[in-house]
Amino acid sequence: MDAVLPPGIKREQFASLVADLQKVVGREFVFTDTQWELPAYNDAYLTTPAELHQPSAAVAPANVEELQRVLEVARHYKAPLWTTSTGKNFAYGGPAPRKAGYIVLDLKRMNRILEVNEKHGYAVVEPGVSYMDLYRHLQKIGSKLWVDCAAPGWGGVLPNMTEHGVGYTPYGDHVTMQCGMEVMLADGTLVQTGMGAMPGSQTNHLYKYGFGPSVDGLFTQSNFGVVTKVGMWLMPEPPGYRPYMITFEKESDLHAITEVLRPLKVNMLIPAVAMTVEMLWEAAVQVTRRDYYTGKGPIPDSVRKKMRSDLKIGAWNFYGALYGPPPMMDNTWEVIRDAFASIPGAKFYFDEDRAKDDVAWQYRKKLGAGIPNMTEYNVMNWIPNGAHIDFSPISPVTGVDATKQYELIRDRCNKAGFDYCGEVAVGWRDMHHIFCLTFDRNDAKEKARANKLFGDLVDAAAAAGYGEYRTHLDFMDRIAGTYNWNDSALLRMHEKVKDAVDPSGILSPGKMGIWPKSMRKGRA
Amino acid sequence: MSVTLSSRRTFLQATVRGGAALPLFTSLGMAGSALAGNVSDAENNSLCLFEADATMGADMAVGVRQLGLAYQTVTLDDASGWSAMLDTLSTAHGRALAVLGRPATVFAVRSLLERDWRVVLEARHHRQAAEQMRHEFTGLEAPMTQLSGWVDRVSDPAQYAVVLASMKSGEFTSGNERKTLDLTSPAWPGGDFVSLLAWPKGVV
Repeated sequence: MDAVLPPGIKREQFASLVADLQKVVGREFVFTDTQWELPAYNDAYLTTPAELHQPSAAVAPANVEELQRVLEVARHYKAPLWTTSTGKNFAYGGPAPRKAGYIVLDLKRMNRILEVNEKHGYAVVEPGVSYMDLYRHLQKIGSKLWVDCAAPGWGGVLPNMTEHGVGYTPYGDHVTMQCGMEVMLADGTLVQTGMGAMPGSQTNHLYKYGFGPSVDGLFTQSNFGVVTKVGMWLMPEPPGYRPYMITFEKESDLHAITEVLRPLKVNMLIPAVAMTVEMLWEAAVQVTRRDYYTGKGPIPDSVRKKMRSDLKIGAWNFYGALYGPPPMMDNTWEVIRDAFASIPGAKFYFDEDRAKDDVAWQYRKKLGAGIPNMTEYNVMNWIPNGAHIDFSPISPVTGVDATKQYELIRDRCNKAGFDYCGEVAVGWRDMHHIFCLTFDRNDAKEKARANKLFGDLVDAAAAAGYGEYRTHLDFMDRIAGTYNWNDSALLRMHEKVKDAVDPSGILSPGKMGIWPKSMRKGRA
Repeated sequence: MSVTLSSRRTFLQATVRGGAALPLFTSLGMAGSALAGNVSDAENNSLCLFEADATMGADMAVGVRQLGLAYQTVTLDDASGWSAMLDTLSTAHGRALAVLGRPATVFAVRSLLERDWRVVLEARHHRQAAEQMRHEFTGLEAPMTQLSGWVDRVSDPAQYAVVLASMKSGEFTSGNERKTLDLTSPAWPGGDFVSLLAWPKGVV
């Protein structure tokens, strides 16, 4: 792949820019080699040509002082930076920038765990700390605090939170569990949010809101600053943990499952993010498509039935867990069991009922206890050269909406020749539907079909009133365009904020559809 | 079997080429004492990261260790196993890496390597028909040429892994031009695999 330049920067200026960055972080941490270095910043799961997202360089500061000077260089040259931390945001773009020529601002070296507070139950981490890193550290120091991790567990604690990621324990809503943030603005100013704004504050990571407007949310899924540190509340190890699984026989059971689930969630009898997983997701973490079917197009029902039988899974598979003292868990279980038992064919399982080599059960069991693992990555073994982009709309927790959304996706997916592979995650009052659109990354035609399908899904979901909570680089503008109430008032407000806090437009231009003035086209 | 042990690599390649020592590890066990002299040399050069997968041969770890090559199991499923791999990688600077496993696993490992290693060769091994395995190589010509001579004789992932691990970085003078090469062999047991050969930054 040929080298590219940042937008608006000439070759000689670029050489000078790179030299200036090298003065800040050292030659070792400025990457420009298109054969050996920059491919690490590609998105292997693109459905569009790689050239559209090829960076011109990458720079990796080690600390806030270096970061401050990197931003100074970027402002001087008006060079766009694209912030990435652990760089594992696969399905949503990985470490790749929104547009070709951007310089990737790689924060992996800022990977210190600054504090673990056992008494108050929190940790303070820099952007490069992965769930695995934090888990290892807690193990090492003998902490009784749990991590709430994404699946797979190599993702970053801070960046997953800023991307609105969720986990699988009662602390699974990561934005809710964030408390205290340090942000560097584009002009190099370092800001502590909330209680951290007061020198000597003892409650920086204990009380979220501080005094005056709470701004932490402005720095999630945004390009208004570079988040350099966050506090995350960690769950104390409970006196008991009892994960369970409930299988359901029929595809049409999704309606009833959702209706039963809603009051259990709202009343907090199911404290963790509640996962209802479709059978192909369960299968894909442990077998390959070819093990069961070598034909083209979606897997026929007869084959799906055999898979369910072989793997001892249902058409839908509900995962939850009980936490607390055993008598409390016993009582809660009675309510949950009785509620789901109203669905004909429901089968109930605890750990002792599932096989030791049941891959799907074992990794879900670990996730519910905050033990990071990478098992879910096996979904990429489902088809040869497996890759995926995730379509993730939000809906109310009702049977009607769950079914409507499922059918909306499944029908279009099957028509386009893909298997439906998905799960629904119920949080406090909402339902995230995660459709893992899996395709062969070496097959150009299949990639084009996947790209078209994804666009169709965005439009169809928006027409039905469903918006996505997160998306791939290639669809950020399109989805931002669906949040267009009152002549896109929210987006226009975002743009005003962008222009105010980053007038040079150097920070992640185009992130979530928010462009700086200099790169904004067609908008007043 | 007549083998000139001029280097571990030639020994291995001769062993596989000759097809006289199958199952391979039994043969390597017999040759253990002859290999001992080269152990430290090999440990300085190669680290094997192989996925623990029953289809890859239960004796693979034993066989690789008999060769004197450092071995680390790779797993996606277990935090302690993943941690052990991270620890091993953090102390493996300067060594060549041979990685073999299922596609998703190798993809995951690859994304951890970029800072200290260069992936000079990647191969996708997949069953093309009931009796045939297809091997699609992408990478530098020198290691590819070395591998091409014997791939058709390898009968399972474990054998392939051992020879891949013997491809020491210092033995090649390489240009940087990337090539592709497709080869076939008798079908291996198990599913699809991906392999990587990575050399320390600075070698290429």
